[in-house]
Amino acid sequence: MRLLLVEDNDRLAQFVVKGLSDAGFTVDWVGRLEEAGAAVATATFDAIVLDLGMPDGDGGEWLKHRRASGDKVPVLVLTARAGTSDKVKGLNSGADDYLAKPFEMAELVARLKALLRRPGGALGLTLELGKLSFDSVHREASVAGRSLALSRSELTLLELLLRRAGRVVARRLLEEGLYGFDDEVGPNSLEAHVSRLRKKLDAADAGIQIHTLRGIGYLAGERAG
Amino acid sequence: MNQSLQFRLAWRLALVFSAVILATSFAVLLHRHGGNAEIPRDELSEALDRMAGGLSLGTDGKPRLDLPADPGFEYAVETPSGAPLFASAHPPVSAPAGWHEGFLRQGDRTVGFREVDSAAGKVELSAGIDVHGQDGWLSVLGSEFDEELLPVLLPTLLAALVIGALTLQDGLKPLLQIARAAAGITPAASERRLPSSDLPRELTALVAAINAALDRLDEGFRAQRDFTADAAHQLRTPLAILTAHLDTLGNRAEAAALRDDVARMSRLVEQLLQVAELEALTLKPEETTDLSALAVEVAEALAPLALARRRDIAVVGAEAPVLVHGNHDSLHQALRNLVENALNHTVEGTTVDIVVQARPPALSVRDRGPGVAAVDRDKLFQRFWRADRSNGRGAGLGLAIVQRIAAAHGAQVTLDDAAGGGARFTIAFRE
Repeated sequence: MRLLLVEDNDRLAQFVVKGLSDAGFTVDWVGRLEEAGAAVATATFDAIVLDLGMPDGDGGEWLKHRRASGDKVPVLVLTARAGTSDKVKGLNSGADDYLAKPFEMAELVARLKALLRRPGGALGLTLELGKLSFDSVHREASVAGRSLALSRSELTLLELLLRRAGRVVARRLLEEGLYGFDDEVGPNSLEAHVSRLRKKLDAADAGIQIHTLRGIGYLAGERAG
Repeated sequence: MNQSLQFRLAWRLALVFSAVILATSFAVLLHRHGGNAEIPRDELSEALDRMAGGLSLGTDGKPRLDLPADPGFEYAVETPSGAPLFASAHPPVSAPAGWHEGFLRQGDRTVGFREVDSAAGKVELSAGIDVHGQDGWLSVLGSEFDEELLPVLLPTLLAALVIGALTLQDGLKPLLQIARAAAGITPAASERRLPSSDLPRELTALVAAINAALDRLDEGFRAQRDFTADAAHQLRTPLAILTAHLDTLGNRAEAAALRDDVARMSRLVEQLLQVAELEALTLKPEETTDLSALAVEVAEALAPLALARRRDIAVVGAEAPVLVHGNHDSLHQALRNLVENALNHTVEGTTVDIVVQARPPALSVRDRGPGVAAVDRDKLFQRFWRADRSNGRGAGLGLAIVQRIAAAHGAQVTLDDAAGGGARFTIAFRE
C-alpha cells in the first residue's frame, strides 16, 4: 500500500513516516506542493495525506485543482487549523477525511484504512476483519478458507459494516442498504438481520463483534481476546 | 435629573409665556396710566354729560341732581359765583378762575370741568376720576387680561406646548431605535453599529462618536480573540510532533504517562480554540439545526472511543427531526463536551444516554456515575474549575463552553440527578 505524505514540518513528517511504515504502508514524503505535484505525476498512490498549510501554497487549493482534473485518489487532510468551519472547508475542497493536529498514530492509521476500504479503494476488494475475509467482487465471506452461508441482505449488511469497521454505521445507512430487498424489510427487520448475522459469525468463530448502539446504529470490531 | 425632555420643554415654554403675558399687560398699563399717560378725556366727558343730564329744577324751584349713589366718579356742582350746590364725598377741586371747559391732572386724580346752561340754570360742573388708586389699577389690568390678552394668549400657549411635545416625541423616536440596536451589540456580535441614517442632526454627532468608540473596542477585542486562536494554532504542530514521537516509543510505562500529559495539553489547546471561536459566534436568523440528527452525529463520533473504554452510548427520542434556531457547529461542540464529560464519569460497563426532547426542544445527557455533589453545582460552570483536581482529564473549560454556547442560543443549561443515579445535564431551548 503506497501513500504520499505532503507535510512541511520535517520532525512531524519523520514520525508520521515511521508510524505509517510500522503499520505496513510504504510512504513517500514531500515537503512542498510543487514536489507533491511531481510525485503524483510520476507514481501511483493509494492515498494521500495532505497538510493544508504548506510553505508554497494552500493545500486545499492544490487539492481542488487535482479533483478538477479528475484525480480520484482518496485524500486525508491534516491541519493545525481545527475550527469546525475549517473542517467543512477541507471537505469542500475534495478531501475524503479530515484529522486535526495533534492526532494519534492509531487514529491516522484507522482513518486511512477506512478510506482504503471504500469501494474502489486499495483495500476495497477484499475486506478483512478478525478472521473474516470478505470478497466484495464475488460477494463471498469466508473464515480460514471456509465460506459462510449468508443471505443477500446479510452480505449487504456485513459489507457496510466492514467498510466502516471500527466506526459507527448509522441505522439509516443500513436500512437504506437493505431497501433493495423490500420483501424482507419490516419495522424490526434490521435488528432481526443483525441478530441472525451475529449468530452466523459467532458460529463460524469469525472473531468479529457487532456492537448495537441504541438509537444510533451498529459498529463492527475485532472481538477482544 | 431624570426629567423627560418633554416635561422640561413644556415647563420652560410655560414660564416664557407667563412672563410674556405679564410683561405685555404691564406695558399696556404703563402706557395708559403711567406718568405720561393721557387724561381719560372720554370718561370725564361722559361723566360731565351725565351730570348735565341729571340736573333739573325741582317743583320747589330748587335745583336737583339725579345721579346713582355711586356713579363711578367724584363730582361737584357750583354756581358761577362759586357757591356749592352738590358734591360727592371727595369732590374734585373747583375749576381754576377763568376756565369754562378743560381737563387737568392733580396728583392721582384727573379732573374735567365744564360750564353749562342746564335746566337748573348756569352751573359749573367738575368730575374727577382717580386713576392711580388700587382699585382702578387692578380692575383695569383684570379687564384688559380677560377681554384682550387671554383669548389670544391661552390658545397660543396651549398650541405651543402641544407642538413642542409632539416635535420632541417625534424627534426622539430615533433614540428608541438606537437603544434597540445597542441592545444587540454583544461580544458575539461586536461588529454591529448604531444606525446613523434618518437621525436629527443633534443626534448624528453622538451616534457617530459612539460608533467610533465601538470600533476601537471591537479592534482590541478582535486582537485578543485572534491572539487566542493564533496561539492555540501555533501550539498544535509542536503537540502533533510530541504525540507522534511518543507513539513511536511503544507501550513503556513512561511513554504512557507522557501520552496522558500530552493528551491533556492537546485538549486544553482545543478548548482554547473553542473559546476563541465561541467569542465570534453569531447566530444567523435563518440558521436551524436538527437536534435529533445532532445527537446521532455526536454519538457516532464518540461511540468508538466509548466502546474502547468499555462504555456504551445510546440515543433516545431521535426518531423524528427536532428543529431549533441554532448554529450546528457550536451545538455539536456543546453536546460533544457534555457527552465526553459523561463518558469520563460514567462507571465502566454502563451507558451514557443522549435524550432528545421535542416540546419544548431539549438535549439531555445522563451518565451512570457518582453524580455531582450539591455544594459543587454552582461552581461547575466556572472556567478552569474541576471537582476533582487530581483527576487528570480535562482542563475545566468544557462546561463553561457549553454554557456560553447555550447562552448564545437563549438556551438554559441545567444539572439534576438522573432517576436511578448519575448526573443529567440538559440544554433546554426556547420553544
